[in-house]
Amino acid sequence: MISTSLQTYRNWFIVGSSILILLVSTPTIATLVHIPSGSQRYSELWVLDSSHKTEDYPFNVTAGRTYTVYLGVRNRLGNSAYYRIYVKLGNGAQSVPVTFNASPSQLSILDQFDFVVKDGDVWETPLVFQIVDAEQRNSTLIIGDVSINGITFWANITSVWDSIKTGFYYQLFSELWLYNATSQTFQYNNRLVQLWLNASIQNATSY
Amino acid sequence: MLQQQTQQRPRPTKRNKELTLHILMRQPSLICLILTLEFSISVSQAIGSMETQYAAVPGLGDTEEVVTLAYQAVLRAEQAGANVSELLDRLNEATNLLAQAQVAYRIGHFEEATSLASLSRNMGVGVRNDALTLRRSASSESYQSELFTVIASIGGVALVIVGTIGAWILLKKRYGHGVAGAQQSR
Repeated sequence: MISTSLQTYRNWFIVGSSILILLVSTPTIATLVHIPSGSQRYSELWVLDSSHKTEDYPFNVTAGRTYTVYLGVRNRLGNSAYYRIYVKLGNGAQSVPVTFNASPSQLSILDQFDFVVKDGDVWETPLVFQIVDAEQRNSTLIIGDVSINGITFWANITSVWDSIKTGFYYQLFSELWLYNATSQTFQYNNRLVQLWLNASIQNATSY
Repeated sequence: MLQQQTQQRPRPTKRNKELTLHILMRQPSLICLILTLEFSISVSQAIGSMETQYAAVPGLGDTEEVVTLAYQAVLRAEQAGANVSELLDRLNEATNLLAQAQVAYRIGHFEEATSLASLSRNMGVGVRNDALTLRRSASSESYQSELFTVIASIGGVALVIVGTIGAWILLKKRYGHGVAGAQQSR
């Protein structure tokens, strides 16, 4: 009976000391063994209206008037990331980014934003745009100059009157690009936001 | 302005198209020659466009490289455990200036592009140098911290083992005395 009690004590000592050893060595194990994070890594891109909501995006736009939206990016990549946003304008028939093979639009770049975002942080900027110069010729509308955040860009984009949706339609879109430190190039991140715009000029003829 | 920039090409007539097709059908070698010429032109245009990218502002290409190198240095400093918040703010100024320079270049404001690129480059160089220093410092601190953790853990484990053995011996002795006392009292 006595030897059984000693045996029980010994077992308790072994268990207790093992737990203590494990506790004491945990910081070292954590330092030496790096367990990869299981969480998904990605970047978010969004566009909000002038009230920072998703309710009142500019749609019917008139040449000479100014419209404001907000572009935002959240970094969830696990480290600081270097982003680039290209702002492009096209009509409905022109090249747009293709999601399934992550190819960007071939349209020429109007404006550009470069920024670095810390992991978990958000970057945001207003996008104030205006059709500066447009001309209607019969059933086509040609947008000449477009102003974005005070800088005027020569766009020269023609849209043909859409008789079904009744309007001259354009797409103002923003593509998110990410700097890849391995390949040392910016790569299209397969994220885009776009605004459909029904453009018009004052005193225009409707069809 | 719009009228000036919108050019109209002469449209090929049906007769012209038929004539061209007829010539091409009869002369397959001519097709090969045209295709070869077209390919050569497109290749030379591609090479030319790469060479002449930012040709009007030669420093702009370098600036992009400097800023990306600065970003890589900040990233490595961050991975080494350094606090890079202040560096990120400065890097953001450099990237913003670079974007402005590239936009200015695209719209033909070459002088402005040069000036902005120069500012961005200087800022990028400063950020890179500071990031490298910070990384070295953080790596050294991180190494010392890791070394301290390992030594402390080894010491802690040794202490637990010695303490357990000591306590066990003490318990065994007391338990032995207790058993001997109990036997004597019998």
